[in-house]
Amino acid sequence: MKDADIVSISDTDLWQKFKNGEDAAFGLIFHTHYKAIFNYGLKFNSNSELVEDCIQELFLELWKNKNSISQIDNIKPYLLKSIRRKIIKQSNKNSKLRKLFNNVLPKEYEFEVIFSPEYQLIHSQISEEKVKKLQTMLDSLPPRQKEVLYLLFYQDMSYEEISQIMSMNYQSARNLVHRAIKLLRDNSLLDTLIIYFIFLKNFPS
Amino acid sequence: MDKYANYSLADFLADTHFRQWVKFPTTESNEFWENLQVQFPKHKEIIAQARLLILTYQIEEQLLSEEIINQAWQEQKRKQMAVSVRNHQPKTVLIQRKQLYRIAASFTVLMLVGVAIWYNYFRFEPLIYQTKYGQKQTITLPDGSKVILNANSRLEIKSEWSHAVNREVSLTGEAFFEVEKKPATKQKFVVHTPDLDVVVLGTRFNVNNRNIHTKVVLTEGSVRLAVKNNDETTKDLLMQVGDLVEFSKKANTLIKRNVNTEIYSSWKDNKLIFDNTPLSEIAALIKENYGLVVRFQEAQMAKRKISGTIPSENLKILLTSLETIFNVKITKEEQYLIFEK
Repeated sequence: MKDADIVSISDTDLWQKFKNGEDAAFGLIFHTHYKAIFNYGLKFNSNSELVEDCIQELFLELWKNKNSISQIDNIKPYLLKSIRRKIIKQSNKNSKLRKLFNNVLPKEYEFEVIFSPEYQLIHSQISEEKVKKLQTMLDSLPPRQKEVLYLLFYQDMSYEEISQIMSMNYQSARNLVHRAIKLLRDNSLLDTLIIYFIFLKNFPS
Repeated sequence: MDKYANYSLADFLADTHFRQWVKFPTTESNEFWENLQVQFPKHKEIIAQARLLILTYQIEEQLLSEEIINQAWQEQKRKQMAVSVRNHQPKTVLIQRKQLYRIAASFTVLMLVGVAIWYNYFRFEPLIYQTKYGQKQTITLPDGSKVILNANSRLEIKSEWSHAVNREVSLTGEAFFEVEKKPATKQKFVVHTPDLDVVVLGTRFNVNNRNIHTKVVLTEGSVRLAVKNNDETTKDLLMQVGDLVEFSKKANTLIKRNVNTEIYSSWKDNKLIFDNTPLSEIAALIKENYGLVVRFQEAQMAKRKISGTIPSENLKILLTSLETIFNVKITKEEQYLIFEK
């Protein structure tokens, strides 16, 4: 962005500038959040073209409605919520359920992540095999639980923000995490590994 | 640090500083979280569990380059533009001067993008055929005419071929043309060379402009030559079947004579017909078609003449034939062909 004066701007002011029709502000919003929106969108539908199209549509709608759109103080969760809705809708367009209950956001959706080997762990005393076991378990979590963990770890969201994105209350968002933790504990996955992990001294610096 | 006193595992997972430490630990953050565990020993286990969870939940994320995001933004601008055009109506909102400049700049960029796209996708790309040394190529032109392009030659198909304009090509090197007649539209077929333009309706002829002159030999039909004078004017010259016209703008020489046309176009049938042709001329032909320079051990050798047909599918067959006919030994050294007794 060439306009140096809007680089360290608050979300509230940035959104206001966008609503005032400042192209640079809209460009900044686009550039700042594109990567996060794209990666989040890919979890619901692995077709990157579809995700790209949905993002284009989302921003075009924002731009068209900039005069009537409400004031936003936290842009990222708003965009994540919007793209989530759009892609889930789009992905279910052809399903029978959608045809029966037109316009209702389906409860069922996929949240696919591709786990990669974690180097910090592999170099430690925990065996690759154990990491893989835990990853398999994480991968088999219900979509919503997987999604909450993703939003925490990869989008740096709080429970408050997550509840906004996933249209639920604060406690429900926390509960999803508790359920995931319980499931992992019940399968002794956190506990059997933990012995190694507590005594892991070599924090990488 | 007191806020951590009643932290649960779920709280640690949602703590930005904690996650930052787990993913990108520093000496400073190591010290902070070590101290915290000393202060609250009961947290030791859940911190370990939280760390384990965060580190295990390691997934593939797409790294998008700045360029890709920029492209997406340009796409977004194009879409906005399309909407603006669709909903074009007078605006009641006053446009500030600064905004006006921005809009003007955006329009300029979009126009440039548009021109670039049009230039790349809709403009007729000139087709260029280029043969290497020792290579021939048969080309069928958009109108069905056939061109056999000899070695080391270049044919450029100029401008768009529609029913409205003449069919135009440019030639450097040598080619044999079999032009389809277009009686319905009376479109002419034009071969441009630096020396002259060959203008035809439908015929078969050979064009060679390898040296400083252009040589046209007419096998069938009739052609008109627009010979280029040095003062940019042209002089028309009609050719009859069997005519050979040789013209050089540089040397300002014009020769017209009747020849055995097969001699000049036999190359296309992979044979060379010679009629009292000196070896020096064959040497020139080898240089033009194969890029090899002939060196004679004895200067006299160049003057020896030959009449007859030699196969010329490839250089090896040609050289073997020459060796037999002239009773010489030919050796290849880099880009030279040495003719020895």
